Amino acid sequence: MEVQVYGAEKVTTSKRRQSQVRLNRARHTATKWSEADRQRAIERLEHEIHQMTSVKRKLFDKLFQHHERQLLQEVGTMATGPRSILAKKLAQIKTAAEEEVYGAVNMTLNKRVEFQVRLSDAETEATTWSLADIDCIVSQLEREIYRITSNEQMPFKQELSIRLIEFEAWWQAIGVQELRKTIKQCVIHFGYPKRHLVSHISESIRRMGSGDNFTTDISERLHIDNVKEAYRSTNKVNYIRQMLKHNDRSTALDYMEETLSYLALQGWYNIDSAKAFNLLSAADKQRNTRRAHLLRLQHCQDEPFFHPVSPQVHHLRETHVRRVCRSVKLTSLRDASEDF
Amino acid sequence: MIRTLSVNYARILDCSKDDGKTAVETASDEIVMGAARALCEFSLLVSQHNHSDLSLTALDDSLKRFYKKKGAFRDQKMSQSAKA
Repeated sequence: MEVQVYGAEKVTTSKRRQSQVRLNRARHTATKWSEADRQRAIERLEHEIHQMTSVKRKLFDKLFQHHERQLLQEVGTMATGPRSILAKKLAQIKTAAEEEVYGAVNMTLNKRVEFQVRLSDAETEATTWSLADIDCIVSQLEREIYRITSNEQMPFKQELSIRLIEFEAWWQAIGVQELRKTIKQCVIHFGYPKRHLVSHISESIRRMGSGDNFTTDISERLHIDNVKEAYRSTNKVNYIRQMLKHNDRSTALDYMEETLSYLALQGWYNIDSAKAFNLLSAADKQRNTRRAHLLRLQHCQDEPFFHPVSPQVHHLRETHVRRVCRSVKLTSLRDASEDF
Repeated sequence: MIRTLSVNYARILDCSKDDGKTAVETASDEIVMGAARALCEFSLLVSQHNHSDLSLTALDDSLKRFYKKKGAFRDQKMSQSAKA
């Protein structure tokens, strides 16, 4: 808008930068609260609130310096921090000297609080950079840097106020709604990559099979068997070798169990090994009891059919199996058949 | 997310607490529960070891239902922010 009203040749980039620098400098100068300003404000407030005069002030300084000198002789100058004994006693001496010189009526607690509040107010007031100040400084800078006369500034300000009113009307009517719409779309859109990938699951199952082939749970579960339980089984001394040996043995036992289960499924088992491995189904167990055998003899029924024992398969005796497979979880024939 | 579903929706499932809800809010709750149900079904179907055409069709269907009803979350959040 400045370019439109004033012209591009007046409002160049370098002039804009110069204007910004001078504005910042003016702001810094105006909002600076120097020690001299503070001292002036303190003197003014002490005069107003505590009824201080220059004579009283001189008397107070004299008295305080005298007491300070005495205290320094007593305590020494080793510790001078804000929480030191010297500082605490100095504060007490200052309060006592103030009450003595200015009078206890003028140095009440309320008046002290009022003094602090008004001092902070004075500081805030002095360091505040009001809109009127900004406007005044900006106008002055425009006149100096852009060479714009006050006659040219008037229509610009009028145009700016009209545009501001138009913008406010647009914001109330459309701007807020559009902002809400944008927030809706940006914040709660469910358009995360993870959510989007879900929509491709059925296609990927059709192409590559069910999702449990790609799960990481298996490797996470192996950490328990191969590391945690293996470490627990060691005596915690040179445990790596013991863990590896444990893993070897447990893997071998797992293979053995799998092989025997497979053979059982194929029918290559005898009744002893089936009993030892708990591979009999519930019906088989019932059929194999002594009572069932007697009942069959009474009713002249045939003996239950078991698959013939192959001479190639090792004949595992129950005691041997029990000793070797103590840690292996035994499965029934039904479970084995379901697994395969 | 599926593991935390029951925790997140416990407030809606607790029907004994009315909390002075309006009809619009109640309807919104029902849609939210529909979306949660669709998501649960999707998770159940996806975790199957074997799939058929029927199961994959059901999978797509549950996902479609979730996408259809997910706007309820947005409405709920907007109404909460408007109240605040």
